[in-house]
Amino acid sequence: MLNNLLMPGLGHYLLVSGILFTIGLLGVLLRKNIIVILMSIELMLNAVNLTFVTFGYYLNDANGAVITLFVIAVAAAEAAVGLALVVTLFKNFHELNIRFFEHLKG
Amino acid sequence: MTQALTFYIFSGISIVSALMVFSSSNPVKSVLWLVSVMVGVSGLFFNLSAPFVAMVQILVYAGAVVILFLFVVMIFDMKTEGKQVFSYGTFSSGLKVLFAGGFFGFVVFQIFFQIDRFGYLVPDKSAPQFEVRNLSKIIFTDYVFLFEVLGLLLLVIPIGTVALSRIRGGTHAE
Amino acid sequence: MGASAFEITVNLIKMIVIFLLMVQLVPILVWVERRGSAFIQNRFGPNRVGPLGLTQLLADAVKFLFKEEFRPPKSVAFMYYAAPVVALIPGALAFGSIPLSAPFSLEFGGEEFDFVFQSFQFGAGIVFVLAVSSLGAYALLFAGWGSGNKYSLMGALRASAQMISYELALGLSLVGILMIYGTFSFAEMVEAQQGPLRFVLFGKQIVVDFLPNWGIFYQPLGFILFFVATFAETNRAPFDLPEAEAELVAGYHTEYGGLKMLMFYIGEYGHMMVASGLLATFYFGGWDLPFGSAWIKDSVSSSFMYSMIMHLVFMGKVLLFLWIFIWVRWTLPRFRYDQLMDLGWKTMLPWALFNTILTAVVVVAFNSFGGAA
Repeated sequence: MLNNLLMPGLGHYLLVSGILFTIGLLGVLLRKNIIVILMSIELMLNAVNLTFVTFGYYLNDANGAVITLFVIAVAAAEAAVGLALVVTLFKNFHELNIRFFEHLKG
Repeated sequence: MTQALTFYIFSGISIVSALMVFSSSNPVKSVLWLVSVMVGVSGLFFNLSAPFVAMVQILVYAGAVVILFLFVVMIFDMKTEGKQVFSYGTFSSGLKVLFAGGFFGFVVFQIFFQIDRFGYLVPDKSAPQFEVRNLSKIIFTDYVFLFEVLGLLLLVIPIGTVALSRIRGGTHAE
Repeated sequence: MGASAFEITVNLIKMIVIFLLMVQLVPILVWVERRGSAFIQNRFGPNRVGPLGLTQLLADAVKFLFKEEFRPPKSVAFMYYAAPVVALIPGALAFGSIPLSAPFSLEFGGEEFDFVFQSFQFGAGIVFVLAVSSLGAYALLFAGWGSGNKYSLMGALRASAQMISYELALGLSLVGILMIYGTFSFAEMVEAQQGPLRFVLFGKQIVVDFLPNWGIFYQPLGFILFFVATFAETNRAPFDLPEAEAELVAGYHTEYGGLKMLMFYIGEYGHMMVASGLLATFYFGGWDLPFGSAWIKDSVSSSFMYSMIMHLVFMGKVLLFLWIFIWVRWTLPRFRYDQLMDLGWKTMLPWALFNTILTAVVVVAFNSFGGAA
């Protein structure tokens, strides 16, 4: 029984993906540095990618890997724009605390 | 046996590094731990016999995205002010943790009680489903529209990025 | 990549051997660089220690080993010490996955074992090399941040920006040749480049007897773009802005000395070797000897001997490209930073895109090639 549990299967990969996603979620919710929040979003995307590839592998379906490639491309684009925003914010305010930006009126 | 060993190594690397990304007070350290997460996840892809996806993960994430992060952090020397890395507010933080914990509990519950339904799923190791030829065939037939839209996105992104970084002042000009 | 314990052991041993081969080549290259630069600049170069100054390298190695070990007080210890080690890894891993010669088989106790002359082989080998060599920027960033020095940091930031910019042109210039040979595997690519130049045009087979079937005849533009991009990726002159001594002292390795400096050197030469190996494999037939491979195969008794001879051919090509790297360094002046970025984004990227589209049109419209030629 224990041997069977230790052998990695579908559930193990999904569990790892769930843990990564939860850490990313906590990072987005709790951290105050904008850059770390962006990094946590990347973590969540990675967790989702892992789920896609896992199901693709266990269902013998290549679509999982294909969607993962698309997600990676979109994530790279998202990171570029996010970082450009952060750079603009930092140049204008010299501030990275997310709570500093919660009041939208100038 | 090898697969079990590599699974535990790579998943351990990625989870521990993810925790370090979450808890490091210095953004530079966070970025470096993020590299380690990417390498760990790439190893897991390799374990799932998707070497091409694993390589693209390293190429795009570790080779470009994370270097961009590191670049921005270093060029502006963005240190967090003091040791307080989490946003303040005990009650709201408690709510957030509760929400995330609830989500995680839901995922674990689903995995433990639904996994038996997928017990019949046995990966066919001889099938070349994750081979590059196969993947590209799917991309350029079933998902060709998505692929074109992605190309458009990649054209829009640099323009937007250049426009953003050239903004002088705006409504918040000092 | 192997699955069984035996295969993993063999791969690890081969990896170590190829890494040692790479490291052994570095002192010779340093000597060639110093003597070559002296030759180009009408000087003598090191000629006192030993015949032709060859043992100068030994003296240099001893000097490097006995230098004082120090760390700048404002540096970050982990990054400062990790950077030289990280600089070695991409070169070693990437060079290991390039086929250095023909596969051969050996007999152990009545059983035949097949070996490939590379540390590991898998389908997406070319993507692997690109992925691993893109990690080279970390060594520079570690060194720049870890040294706690403004010059180092500026050099590292320049270097990483340059590497990311030219990686695009590098990757895109490869797409053409990938389309023609229709594979991501080095072995298949070398296999496809053997024999005389032959291709299918409008459904007719055309054979040119006096030319080898090498990639450069199909992709001259791709070759030029790839060649220039590799110079930028290896941070060599004329793209050596990260270590522009007139502006930045010595760039990212300002604070390094002794053995750590030597490791950066080995890393840089390793990158050059990987670049030369890739150029030889993609555009010059890998270990293929034009018009001679078949004859040698017939006249040599064992496949092991054949593999060794082909390895010499491959190393000859690699050394030729290494000499061109050195030659260019002492011939062309350095770019200005804005010129560098202009060249990367406004010249090479559009030309690489043009090359990709042109190749796609030729492959599809003229009904040429049809997968492997």
